[in-house]
Amino acid sequence: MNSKTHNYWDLLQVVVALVGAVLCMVLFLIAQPVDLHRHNLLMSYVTQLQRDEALLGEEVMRLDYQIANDYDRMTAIATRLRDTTRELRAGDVASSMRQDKPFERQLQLLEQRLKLKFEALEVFKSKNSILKNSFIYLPHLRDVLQKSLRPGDAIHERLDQLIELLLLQNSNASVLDRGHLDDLIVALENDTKGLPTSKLQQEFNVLLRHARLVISAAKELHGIQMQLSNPESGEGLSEAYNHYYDKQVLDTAEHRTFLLLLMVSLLGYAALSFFYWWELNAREKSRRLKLAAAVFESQEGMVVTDANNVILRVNRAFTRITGYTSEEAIGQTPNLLRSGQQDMAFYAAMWDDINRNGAWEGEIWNRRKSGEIYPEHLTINTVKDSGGQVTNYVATLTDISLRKAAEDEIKRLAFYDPLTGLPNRRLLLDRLQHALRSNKRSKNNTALLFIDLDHFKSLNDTLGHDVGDLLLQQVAKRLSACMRKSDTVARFGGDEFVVMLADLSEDPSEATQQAEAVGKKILTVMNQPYQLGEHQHHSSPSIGVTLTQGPQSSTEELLKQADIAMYQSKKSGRNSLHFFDPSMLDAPSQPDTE
Amino acid sequence: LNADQNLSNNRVRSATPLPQVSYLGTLWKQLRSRRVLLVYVLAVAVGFGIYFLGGANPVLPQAAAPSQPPLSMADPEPITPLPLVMAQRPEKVELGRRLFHEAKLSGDGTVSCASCHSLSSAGVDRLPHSRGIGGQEGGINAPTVFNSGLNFHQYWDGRAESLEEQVDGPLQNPLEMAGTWPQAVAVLTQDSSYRSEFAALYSDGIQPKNFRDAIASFERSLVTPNSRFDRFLRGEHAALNETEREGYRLFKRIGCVSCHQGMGIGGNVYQKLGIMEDYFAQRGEVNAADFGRFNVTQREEDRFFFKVPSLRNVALTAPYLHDGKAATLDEVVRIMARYQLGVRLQTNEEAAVVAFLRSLTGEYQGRPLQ
Repeated sequence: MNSKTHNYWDLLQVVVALVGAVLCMVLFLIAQPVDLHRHNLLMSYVTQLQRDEALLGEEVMRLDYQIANDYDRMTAIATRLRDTTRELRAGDVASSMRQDKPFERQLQLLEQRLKLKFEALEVFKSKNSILKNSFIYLPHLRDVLQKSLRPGDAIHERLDQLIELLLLQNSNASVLDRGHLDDLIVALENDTKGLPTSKLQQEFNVLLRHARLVISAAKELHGIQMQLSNPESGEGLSEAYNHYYDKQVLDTAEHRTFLLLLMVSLLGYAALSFFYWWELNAREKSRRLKLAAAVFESQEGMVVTDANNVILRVNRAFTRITGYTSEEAIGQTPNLLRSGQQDMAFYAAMWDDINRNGAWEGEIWNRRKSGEIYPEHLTINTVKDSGGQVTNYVATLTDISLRKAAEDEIKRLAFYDPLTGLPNRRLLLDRLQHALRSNKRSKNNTALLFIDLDHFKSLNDTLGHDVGDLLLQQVAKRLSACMRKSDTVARFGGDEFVVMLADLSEDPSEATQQAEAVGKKILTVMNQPYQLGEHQHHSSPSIGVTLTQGPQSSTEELLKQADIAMYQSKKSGRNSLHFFDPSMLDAPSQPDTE
Repeated sequence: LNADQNLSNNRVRSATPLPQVSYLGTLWKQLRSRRVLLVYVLAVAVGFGIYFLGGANPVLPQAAAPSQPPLSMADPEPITPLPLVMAQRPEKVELGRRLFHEAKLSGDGTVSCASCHSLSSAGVDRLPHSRGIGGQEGGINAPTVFNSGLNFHQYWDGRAESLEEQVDGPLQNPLEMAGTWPQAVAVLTQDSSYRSEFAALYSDGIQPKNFRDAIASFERSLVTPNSRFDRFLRGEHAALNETEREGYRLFKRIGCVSCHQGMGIGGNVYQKLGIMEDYFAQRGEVNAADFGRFNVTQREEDRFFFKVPSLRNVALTAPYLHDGKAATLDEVVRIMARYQLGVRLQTNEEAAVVAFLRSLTGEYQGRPLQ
């Protein structure tokens, strides 16, 4: 997974978690059926309404039976009913309810009913006052009138009857016999005209007026009382609200289920994320371990020791290089590998370096399990804890014996002729220089024999280079075979060979004889027929010899002299040997071709 | 050997580079860093602190229980004394008092509430009909503002159900203050002291509803307790003399108390003017103001019905009745007895009732009302 998509994936995870959390909060908010504060207030208002209407009915009864004799309490209850209704209508508490149609309808019904009720209440109070007044007045008036009337009179009887009936209907309006009362009043009205004084007539008229007021008020009051003592207020409202509440509860139950599901899934998501992260960590750790192991199991031998240099772990490359398995190595110290090639001073210096620099690198000789001594490249590093104390040493070792061999090969390629295996011109010059230098000390003489194969070019041209190479190799072998160990046979280039004879006698003439003997031998050996594949071949050399003349001779000079002498042999008909003679320098210049 | 080394190098390099640490891993690392952890713990602590100390306390709210009117099985007296203390917020009362006396609120800046309801003259103007802006005569007698908070409705015809509702009437009546709300609000807003006083009491500052609230608060504070009659009711028998006590007895016996009852001695019931005899037929010149409650309800049975006025401080609020036709207490007692009760009182009885009525004068701010 590339890092960009990785980032997007992480972002997506975070967004998903955030959206889930926000959804949770929203669900939590709407999972409440109603605002608790408003719910309680509303319930208390509805309860208040019901209670107040009951109280109002009760107060009507109290006034009716004259237990109460003022309207303050009734007024207070009515005012509170009105205020409660207004609060439900316009207040903050029922604001959420006004969208609910049944509740709204019930509230309207309540308002209409209360409006009628309040009107009825005012009528009740007015009529009740009149009745009360009349009932205070009637007995008093009767007393006054009866004093002025003779008992037994028809008018006296009728008056008594009227007042009794009126007082009776005060306690129970339903027994009112209106017809009878009306008859009585009409009869009394007629009686009034026969009364002796106008003052008495006036009193009587007042009484009859009261009677009529009582009759009309009582009838009206009866109906009103029924209306006023009916405490159904708030029933419908309460029902509507309960219905609304139930609906809300059902709705929110669904939300709560969603909320629960969402929370459970969020929890699951969190757990999943945690495990994902856990696993990622574990995988990461094992990958690192694997990587470390892979690094450890490299081609280089590795040794881990503790601070006391005891081997804790080695890798397979170590076993391959040293021959010791890890079982054999663990618990030992690296002294196991000591070859004895380095002295104690070397090791002391090495440890000194490690302790000072924390690392050492170099090449040392060690001994394999097989006893073979081999060169290795060794790197030692220290591992320190956070306190700076050495906890481990880690050594990396590379077997460089192969490298050494390679180095030898490179050297060989540089100093030897690959075709014949003979030293090349460079090595010859090197050795010649050596020889000349040692001649200075030893006073020995050195001879150079410059050998050129006759007609070698024509062989190459006729039979090919492969055959020519074969001849060169066989020549080289024959030359090498007849030389001493201290002599050098070199291929100088093409078909030219140079033989250096070191450590010849101090005496020049004796040295000349020695050189001549070798030259002759070479002539003989090289004139033997060659078997070049299927071809029988005969080859002869032209040889030029020179001797060092004293310590001042230079290599170039000697080679030149030998070359000149070899040309002399060519000139003299080939297959011969000539010594250098200074007079040859005066001879005509060498021919360009052989 | 070289080849081998290269190979091993390549192997190291080709091994997957350290995989990106996942976001959650980073988050976890951040969480583990002490500072982030500390911030997190602090945030949680603050959250819980707010939850426990703050308003989130889920205590079930209690509905403010409206005060329950006192219930007694049988009041021995139909009249109850005024409370000695009327709890109103003093700042609101003071703001209301200022507004009550503020003439700038009227159309021409000459008339205030106090013009017709002067506190120094028992809350009335002592005119048969009040005079408003430009000396115009209104159609009705001004009732006293004292104890107006005890009235169940306001105005003679009860067209305002509360003091707050009542405020709009005189302010906007072209015959009275002839003001408008926008003008009133603008006038008050120009005054920095009004601005600060309103701001101190109401979060939304100068508003008609706050204006009404302040005025009503002030008016509710205008109670006149401690009248001699109240002291008598509280058991101080000697607070009334013999004549006055006789007057009270008569007041109850002849039926005055049927309507004039309760704490306000009236002010909580409508009654027809002219129960026993037709008052208006006798008086003549019936006008719309005489229709009373009918003007509000348009119900025929409410014609000539008026709010029974409170009799507290009645001795100081002449002239009487909605039309201001009764100039003296004797006169109004006679009218009431005749038209409402069908009673003709003896001279001594009338004097006793009047004496009783004079004992109803209470105190405002510790001094007897003038």
